[in-house]
Amino acid sequence: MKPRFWICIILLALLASCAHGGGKPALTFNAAVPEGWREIPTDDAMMFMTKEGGYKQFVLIRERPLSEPFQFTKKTMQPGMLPEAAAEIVVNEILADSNVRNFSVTENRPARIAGNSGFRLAFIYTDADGFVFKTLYYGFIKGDTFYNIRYGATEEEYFQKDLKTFEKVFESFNLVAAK
Amino acid sequence: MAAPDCAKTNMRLPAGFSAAIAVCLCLGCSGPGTMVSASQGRGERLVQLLSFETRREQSAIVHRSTLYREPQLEQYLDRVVACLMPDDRTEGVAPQVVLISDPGQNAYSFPDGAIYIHTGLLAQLESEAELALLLAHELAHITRRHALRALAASPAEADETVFNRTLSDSLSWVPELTLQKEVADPSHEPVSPRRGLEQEADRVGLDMVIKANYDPYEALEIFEHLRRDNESGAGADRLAALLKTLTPANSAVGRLTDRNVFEKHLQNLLFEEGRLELRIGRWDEALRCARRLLRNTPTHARGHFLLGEILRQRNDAEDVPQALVHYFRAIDADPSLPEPHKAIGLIHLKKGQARLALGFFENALALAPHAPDNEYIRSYLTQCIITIEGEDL
Repeated sequence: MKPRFWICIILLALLASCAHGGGKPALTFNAAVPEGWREIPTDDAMMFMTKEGGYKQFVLIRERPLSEPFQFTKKTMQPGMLPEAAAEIVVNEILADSNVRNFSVTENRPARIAGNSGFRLAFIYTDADGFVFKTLYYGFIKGDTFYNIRYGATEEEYFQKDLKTFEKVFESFNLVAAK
Repeated sequence: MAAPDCAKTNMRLPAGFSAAIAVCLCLGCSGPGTMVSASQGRGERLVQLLSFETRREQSAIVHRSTLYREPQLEQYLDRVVACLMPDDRTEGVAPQVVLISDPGQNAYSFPDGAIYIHTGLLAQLESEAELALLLAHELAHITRRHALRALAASPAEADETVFNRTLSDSLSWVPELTLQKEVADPSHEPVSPRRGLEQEADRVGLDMVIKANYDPYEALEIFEHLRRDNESGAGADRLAALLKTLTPANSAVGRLTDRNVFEKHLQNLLFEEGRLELRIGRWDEALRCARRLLRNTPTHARGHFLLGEILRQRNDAEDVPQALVHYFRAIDADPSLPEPHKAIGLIHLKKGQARLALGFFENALALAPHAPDNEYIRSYLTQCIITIEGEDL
């Protein structure tokens, strides 16, 4: 049984890319895939990497245009928006997702991400299949783009085990010209 | 044809029961299924089925929902229920209202007496009489044993199929089948047991409201208020049918309820509902809750803060100046509230007015030294100081 939440995200990403008929958009960021991990190819503007399968632990780095409204709240971010306000939009979006239960934010504070002012969220939730996930979510706005870096794992088994690896991925993250 | 207004919004049958009806409709003719003797203890098995479904559905509701708990409001709702309940109480039924924190407009009841109401629906009501009619409708479903009656009226084959399937399979797919069946086949509508029971619950409910000495015309305004969110406006048919049952004598006996008292009972709920609506970006609904709260409690500090937040976040033309007005009113009403100080600071910071912003951020920190968002406020303070130092150089 797979957590539907991430299946939906990946399927939506794939569908979205099919809809406009193009291949993978040029990414404007770069990050190192850790040794022993693999990148799962997607056609969306994201990097999705895992060691033992996307539903045990994963790192998802995504860029999205600010003009794109969020799926559930229909809210949009604005250029120059403060990190706290951006974090609030992310939290509200997750709260509005009926597949997510028992969502609880354990940390919400400012953070520096590749030299940019952003936010760091830590939260726990239960997906529609009853899996408890722990997630670290970094986000920042640069120009017209919202970048987010997530590390998620089933809380007990994998989160602590791969946290150091995620930190290395996080440190390797940097913005580049579209590649 | 779509179901009537209230059938979709506030007066639908319990999901488990809908599921059973759906299976009767959809599977009754589909084949032999697992058959046992139709005559043997049918009534007992139906009661057992409903009891099982009631427990299962309520357990699922509690699992997937956030309950809204406010003891004073719950006591008030219990008092209204007690006022409405007929003397001949149904055995095994203990009416109890459970509130679910959900912006949706929905209410439903179970055979054991549990009535679930979404906060989004309660926030739409404008008088105790409207509330009484909503509760009375649900009580009518319960006291008239509508769930059992509908199931008993269904074909015996279907009952057996329902019974056997219910105990072994998930029924999560059934409500969709119900909907498809009723929508896709209008010929079912005139004879739909669900529709007939809804109409009876309307009539019996209105009668209960009148017997409890509420003004029926005031109670029927519920259709007006709920119709706001219903594009089809189909509730008008239902309202017309109920108005026909009233006699001139009805208007002479009822008492008009005190709307101020009702508003006071809803004060906290309106605030929470406004926050909920703001969170999901339904600006109009959020504004309606906040303005209604302030209309009845003009010095509600958190209400002014909420209204300020809605306006600041919506950020339409003239929203931000209006937000500032409400933040200052919040501070006037309760100077110890840190949130409006921070919000004013943010507005000034966004305008590049670092010197003005600084003092408000300092106030916010001083008023709540351990607030969870203090790291953000400190970062804003740093930003202000850097800007001011830059200006001074």
